[in-house]
Amino acid sequence: MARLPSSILDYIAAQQNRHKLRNMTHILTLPIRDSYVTETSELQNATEEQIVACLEKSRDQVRSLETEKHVNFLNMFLSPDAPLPDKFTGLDASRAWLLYWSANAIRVLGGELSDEQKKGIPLTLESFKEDGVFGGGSGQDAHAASTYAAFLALADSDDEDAWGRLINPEEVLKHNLKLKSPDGGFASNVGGETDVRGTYCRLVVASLTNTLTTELTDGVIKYIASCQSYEGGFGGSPGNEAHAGYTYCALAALAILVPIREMDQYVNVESCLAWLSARQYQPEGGFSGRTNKLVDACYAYWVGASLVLINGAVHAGPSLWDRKQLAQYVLNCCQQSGGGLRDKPGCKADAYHTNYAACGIAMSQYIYFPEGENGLYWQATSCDGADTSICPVNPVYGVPLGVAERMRLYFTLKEENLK
Amino acid sequence: MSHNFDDLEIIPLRESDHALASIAYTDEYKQATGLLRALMEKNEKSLRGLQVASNVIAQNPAHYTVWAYRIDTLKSFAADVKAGAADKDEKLAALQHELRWVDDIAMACPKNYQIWPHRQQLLELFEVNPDLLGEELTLDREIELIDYMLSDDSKNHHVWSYRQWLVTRFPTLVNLDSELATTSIMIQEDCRNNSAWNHRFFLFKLKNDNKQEWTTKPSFQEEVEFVANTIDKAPQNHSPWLYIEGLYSHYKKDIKDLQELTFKYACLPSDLGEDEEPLITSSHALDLLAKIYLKEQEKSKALEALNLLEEKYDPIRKGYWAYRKKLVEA
Repeated sequence: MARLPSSILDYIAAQQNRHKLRNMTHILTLPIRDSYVTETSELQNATEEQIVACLEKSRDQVRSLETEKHVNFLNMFLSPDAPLPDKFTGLDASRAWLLYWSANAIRVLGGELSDEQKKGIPLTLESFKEDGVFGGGSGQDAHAASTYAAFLALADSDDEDAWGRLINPEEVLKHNLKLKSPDGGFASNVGGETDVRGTYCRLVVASLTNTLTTELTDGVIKYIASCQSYEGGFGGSPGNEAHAGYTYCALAALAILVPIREMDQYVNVESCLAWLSARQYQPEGGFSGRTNKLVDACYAYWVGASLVLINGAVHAGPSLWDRKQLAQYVLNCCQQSGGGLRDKPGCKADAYHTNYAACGIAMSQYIYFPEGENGLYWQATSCDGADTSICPVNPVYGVPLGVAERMRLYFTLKEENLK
Repeated sequence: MSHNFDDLEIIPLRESDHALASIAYTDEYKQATGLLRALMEKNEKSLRGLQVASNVIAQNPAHYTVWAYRIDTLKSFAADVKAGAADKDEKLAALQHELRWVDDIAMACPKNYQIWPHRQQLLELFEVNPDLLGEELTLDREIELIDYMLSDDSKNHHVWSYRQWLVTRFPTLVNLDSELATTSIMIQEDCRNNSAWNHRFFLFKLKNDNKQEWTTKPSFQEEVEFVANTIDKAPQNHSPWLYIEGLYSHYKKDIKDLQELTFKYACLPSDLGEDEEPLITSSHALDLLAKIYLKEQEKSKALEALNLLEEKYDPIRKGYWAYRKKLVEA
């Protein structure tokens, strides 16, 4: 009983189109392709061609990480003497982010922060303080994302004295409670959007300061679960399209609240896994952030870390994604020759993509095992042939293993000493 | 109209000379943000403050603090108009102009986060104070802006989220039929537009789960036909497959009903004669077929489908298909 597809001619044409690509044995290509053209497929095809050309150049080799160049690129954002040119004005409200992305990427890539940089982080953030937490720059309102970035940059700076000076757990809790909404979500700032990114950012700083009270977490799991879409991934708020960035926020937030192995009691882990796995594209090897959207190196982290987290619930083993092809995409196509990592060939490197591509490589070069109940502690072992110059990264907190744990310990001990 | 700021002392950026990630702002930006800090420190909500806010936003629309200041200022204008303040006419004019002003920013900065919560608060303000708007609040202007923005970037996540907020927040003002029709048109134009599929799912659920009045109510079967027709154009398009599985799961229907649909795009070698090659035109059909066979307890067939995916039709996801095989064998 042979069953013919409805459009067999289209199919044959598509097969013929694929012929050329398939002769390149080292690049895996999907054997099925529709010939029906839409705006999405045109964009996808053009992008694919560009990436395949890039992959072709390096044949089957994986380029090594050009750490020194990337660190030099990142140092540009952490220089006390040379301000960024005025074209960076659009990032004036994201300066806490710039500190975190740059300092964190340097550490994840295996570089070291200079003493000047370690001191410069708290020195800069001191003037960003607002309402017990942090704004995106001096004189700006408190914001969940800036606060998250500021805490992680401070954690990366290793400066415990600065932690004690700049962070007061009680004020953090008070601020977080103030921005909580009745549906269990959190607003990013007064008058700002409520979405699961806000939830994740607030739970991270609450966890680091040991202020995850019942009052704070009440109803939050329900809110997170309500953001899961029919596709399996999570949207920013209920009903929104599944998106890898928000999916990461949802899973990491959940990992702070419940033991990872029990996540299946709250969300549909199987459909989430299926959706996450479908983010890896052939022949590109990279991850996309949404169904029918293009690959982007930053999703090496958002999807990679999400897969690490979901694997803690489904126990599917270390091969849930093709680590080699992901590494080929990020390392062969997204390292800018002058330093820094980028979204895809043709794009310019920036601090955001450099950090998340680096953290993404860290997800792929190690295998992670959760320890304990709160998503804070992880064991990592390197994969065969992995580049271990890159640090293992905490898949819930997005900083090198040990960094978030140390901050949490600091505030826990401080609290005990106060008692 | 230009305002006088002579009485205001500009507050410069207060931070260490050795701060990191500092930016060599233009003098214009320093001046505008310096005035903003001075106004905010005085807690002044005025027409000239609104002008400063416009100026800062024009130079840096991601400056969320100025957006918060702006909406507070506008809310204070609403109170002043009601109280009959001396400058109530100008303030009323500013309020009535605001949506149009946001339109321009939205079109110039399509990826901006702040526009949408700002607009949400404006609509809520006009909802309780219809006299401020001078006309009855409708969503025509909103939908027009959204459609315009989607014509430029049909997958803009912020714009789609705002659209859903409107539908949820103003159920009586929104025309659900035309919303659904919009998704049909967009899917017709690009069947791979997953954002349009997502919005359709959201609407379809509303239509069936809520007791709202709809002039036309598509039946489940009609919806399945719509999806099947779209799949037929491009069987390897993941969006409609996710959509139909999502519908079946949400309405607890039996996926066995979809077996015939999957057979159009995938079949197993064991179902064919010896010399026949299976013609598989959709890996998603094969995936769904594996789920259907598993449900029917035909484990060997489910494994056969998953093997095909693992080895031939979707090998980059080898590890995932191997995991699915493990679930079948368990």
